[in-house]
Amino acid sequence: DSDGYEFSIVSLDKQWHFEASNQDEKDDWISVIEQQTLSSLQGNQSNKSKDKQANNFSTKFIAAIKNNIPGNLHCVDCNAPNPEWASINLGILICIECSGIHRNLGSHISKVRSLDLDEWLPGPLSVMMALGNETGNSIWEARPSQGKPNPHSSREDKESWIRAKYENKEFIAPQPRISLHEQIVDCVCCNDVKRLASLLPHAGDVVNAPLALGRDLWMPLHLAAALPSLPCTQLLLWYSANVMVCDEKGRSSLYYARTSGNKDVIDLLLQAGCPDSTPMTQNTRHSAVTNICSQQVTASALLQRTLQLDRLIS
Amino acid sequence: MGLLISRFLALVQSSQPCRVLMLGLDNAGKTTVLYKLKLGEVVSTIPTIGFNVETVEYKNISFTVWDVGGQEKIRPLWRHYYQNTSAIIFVVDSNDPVRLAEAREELHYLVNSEDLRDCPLLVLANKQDLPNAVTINKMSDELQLRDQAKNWYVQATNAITSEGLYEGLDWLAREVAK
Repeated sequence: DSDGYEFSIVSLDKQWHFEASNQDEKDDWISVIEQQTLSSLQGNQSNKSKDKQANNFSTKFIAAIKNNIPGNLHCVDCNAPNPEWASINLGILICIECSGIHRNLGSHISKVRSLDLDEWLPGPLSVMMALGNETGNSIWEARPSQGKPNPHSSREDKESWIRAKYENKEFIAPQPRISLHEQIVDCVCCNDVKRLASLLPHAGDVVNAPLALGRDLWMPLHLAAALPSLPCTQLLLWYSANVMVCDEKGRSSLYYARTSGNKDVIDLLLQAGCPDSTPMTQNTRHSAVTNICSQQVTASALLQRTLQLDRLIS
Repeated sequence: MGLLISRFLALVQSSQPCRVLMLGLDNAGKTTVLYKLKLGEVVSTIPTIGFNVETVEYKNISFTVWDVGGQEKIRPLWRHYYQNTSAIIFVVDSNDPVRLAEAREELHYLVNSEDLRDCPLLVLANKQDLPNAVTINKMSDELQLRDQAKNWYVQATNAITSEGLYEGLDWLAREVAK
């Protein structure tokens, strides 16, 4: 009579039943089978990840995002500990239940990813490193707000709070009178990611307005690429900055990213389908020289523009 | 005799089984589609880490729909669900045009796999009610379906209101019955 020493393996299309002679043998078998299942699943994963080094690189950043960014030890919306989900455009961490609610808002409001189950590229990582839950709440809960849910609140309570916070923007600070476009340009110039993140949800088409109509066709995206600022470029792209627009010389944002030489910004723009107005990919001495020259040109152009803007703002 | 007749009728009328694999990027709306079809209501979902499976009876076909989580690192597990699949439903978030290239890459990998060679492909262009939603024409272009030899169909849907879901299932039922 061996009752109690049986165990089964249940797979998609079959079931296997086994019987061991005693409890120890049964435990041994189960632990060996679980080990094997786990290692073949992990083997499956590492086969696919194209670049192990890149993977290690993002693992370090993920750990930093979880542990070192102020406020990130708890869900930004309900305060549950150890959130493992992110809203990449808002730069915040949330628990799995709140992530379900964020997904209901639509990706134009919140883009949800898993810290552990998704692959992370430098662009989103840079935004997550620059923002975080404390910063997020300084934007989205700037005004006193009642009825913030806790981990035990009902799903309905959490959902209505989250909709009030991000969809209806009920708790944000009153917007200053200075034009949104000037503020956005100002933020990009100073690489002020936090303020940029607070402005972009209101921006709409303003992100694609030229710096000075008729004279200077540069857009905020050109500026971000020329600086270069990876988080500003990434945020502008998420909030509908148009990669196809070129300046009065017919140069795209990618052109300026290439002259500034930041590989992550270049990759990000390429991935977004930005046209290459002047290809500079050939590894020739000639292009290196052009590169340096245009880098100087860009630097002086940037300076000029900043001065112009200073005059505009002051 | 009465028992015999009823058994015979049950045999004749019993619905044809069809194993459907429902895939797509994370947050496309797969789980919402599944439970809207099964229960007729919108359930509160969280990201699917494993899978959900439900049987949906429609037009005398018994669709067993497998809804498998779509996060990037668990997508390699999709292939373990390929075997014996009769049809594919690929759900896309129409409101997230930036991710269409990623969706295309996953979709092409699917349709080129040997195990799914004969499966009809129903693409649900979901979340059509949201502000940035692309049209089904744009969707077919972006997913580069037009040059696919496979039998495919793109249906605009809104899983919350169930708009388009049954039109999609009608197409699938016709293809499976062929």
